[in-house]
Amino acid sequence: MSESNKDTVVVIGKLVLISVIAALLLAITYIPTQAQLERNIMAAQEAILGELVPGAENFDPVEGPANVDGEREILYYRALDGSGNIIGYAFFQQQTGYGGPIMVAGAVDASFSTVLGMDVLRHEETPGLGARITTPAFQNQFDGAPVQQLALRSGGGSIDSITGATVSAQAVVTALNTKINQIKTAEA
Amino acid sequence: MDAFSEFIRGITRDNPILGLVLGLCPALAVTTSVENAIGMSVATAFVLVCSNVFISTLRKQIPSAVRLPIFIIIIATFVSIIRMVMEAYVPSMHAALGIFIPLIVVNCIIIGRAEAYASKNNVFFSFVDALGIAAGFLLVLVLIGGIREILGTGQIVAFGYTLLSLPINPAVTTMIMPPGAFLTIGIIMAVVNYQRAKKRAKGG
Amino acid sequence: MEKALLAIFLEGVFIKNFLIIQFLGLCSFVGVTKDVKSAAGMAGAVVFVMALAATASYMIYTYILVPTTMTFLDLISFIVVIAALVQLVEFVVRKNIPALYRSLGIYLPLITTNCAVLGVVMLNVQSEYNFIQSVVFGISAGIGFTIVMLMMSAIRERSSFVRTPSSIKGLPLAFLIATMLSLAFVNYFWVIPI
Repeated sequence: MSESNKDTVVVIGKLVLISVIAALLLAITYIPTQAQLERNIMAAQEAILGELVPGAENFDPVEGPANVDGEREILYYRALDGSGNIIGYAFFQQQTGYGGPIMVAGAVDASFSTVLGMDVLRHEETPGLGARITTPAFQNQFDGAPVQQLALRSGGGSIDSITGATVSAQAVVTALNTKINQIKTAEA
Repeated sequence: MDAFSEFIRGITRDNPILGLVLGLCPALAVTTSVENAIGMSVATAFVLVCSNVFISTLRKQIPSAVRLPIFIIIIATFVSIIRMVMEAYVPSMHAALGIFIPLIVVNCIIIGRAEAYASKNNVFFSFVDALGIAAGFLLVLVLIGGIREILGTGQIVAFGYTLLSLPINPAVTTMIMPPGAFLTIGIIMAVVNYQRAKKRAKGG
Repeated sequence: MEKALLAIFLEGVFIKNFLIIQFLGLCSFVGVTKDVKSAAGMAGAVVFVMALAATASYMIYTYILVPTTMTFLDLISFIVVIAALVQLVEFVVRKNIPALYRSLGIYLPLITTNCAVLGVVMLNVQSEYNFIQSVVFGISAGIGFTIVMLMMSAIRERSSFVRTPSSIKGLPLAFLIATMLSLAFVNYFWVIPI
């Protein structure tokens, strides 16, 4: 092998070596930070649930069956008071709205008779119309609403719709109803 | 060459923003408050110090034909590390600085120092140079951030402490919007030019 | 419904204008806007590389990094791709279109460290745009970049005839002009709800 070929090999070798070291360093940082990131997300979610169920001391996640990768999805949370009694159920549910998926957090009391509260975490609805699902005027209607009447007024329920954005309002109501029924079946 | 004057040089003559005019993007984009300015400077300082020391250590091993790609890989590695660490441990700061954390990679200050200084000097002086440049960067960012925050919101709040408040009512919100950034740096540069011209006139 | 392409386009050109709203690519903004000709050359080179980089990085992110769960290598692979692209473009243009190379050539090496290009790529990933959206955003950001570069250089050419105090000449004046451009953009385009 000639001198210049040797040099080329050395240069390429050094480039590869440094790329490998870089990738290794990043992988080493990735693992602990990713774990911390997941803890942050969990903490943020529990904070949101804590606001919906005021008296709750603890949230006990209920997991679904394992999927192909062996991961279990958290279906909903049992809200426990200081002495471990179930005082309600809290959950996250995604529902397709007008502009895209709407992520809703909700909570219901232990007897499935009253909605404790609702919060919209993420949405892509039209500003000024569907986006009004995030206003207190819309959200406060859900605090203490009877589950029996959890529907829009046009559907015989107690929730005022949003003018021009029935699809968005309906999506929120559907999300809550679907999940509450699911939990009721699971807990029965 | 003594270490102290090398450090001071980074703040005065070779100040990254006012002297070398490098790294303008973060200096204007994230200086809406003193807190963000400090966060950005600390992240940049970490990358600058690490890459300067690392490149200086390896300077005899790096083939000159491919030195720029190697510098970029080294810098990108340290930027990715600080980005992941910030996202995990100071998520609110990470969210406030947004894409300007990954963009530290293309901050001309860092690759500029690697090329102009770290690849030619020993580890200790490269370390001192990085500290000096980082200090110069921090001072200018905090200055711009301070001016914009005090005029734009009427007070300076950093990490939960109110440092200063002025009775301006209503506050000039334009200052924390993009035009305020250009105005502030324009005036700071004009003042610096004026001072330099005066000094030169006296000395000459 | 996904975000409309027109909305992405208008955002890229005006509302989130790279230079004077998002502060991306400022080095070239103050560096090469002394005359219209070099500003146009730089803008042309940036638009070209931006569109290519948006395409290439989308491919790499979606088809290599996501399936192998190595998304933490995104930054390092994007910057390497941009650097390689710039080299490739320089090589191809020099060989095949020498006329274009003479006008764009000297700006090409500067683009690797132009934060506007990496900015497009990172914003695409952050906004979770699909392929078409990524390319549209890349092109519109490039157009917005070009418009402002041309406006800025035209104003700076004229302003060289104005008598200004010596401390304001040069960069400070450029920033004061940028202040006014930015004010105009903020006031006109932030009021349009999209």
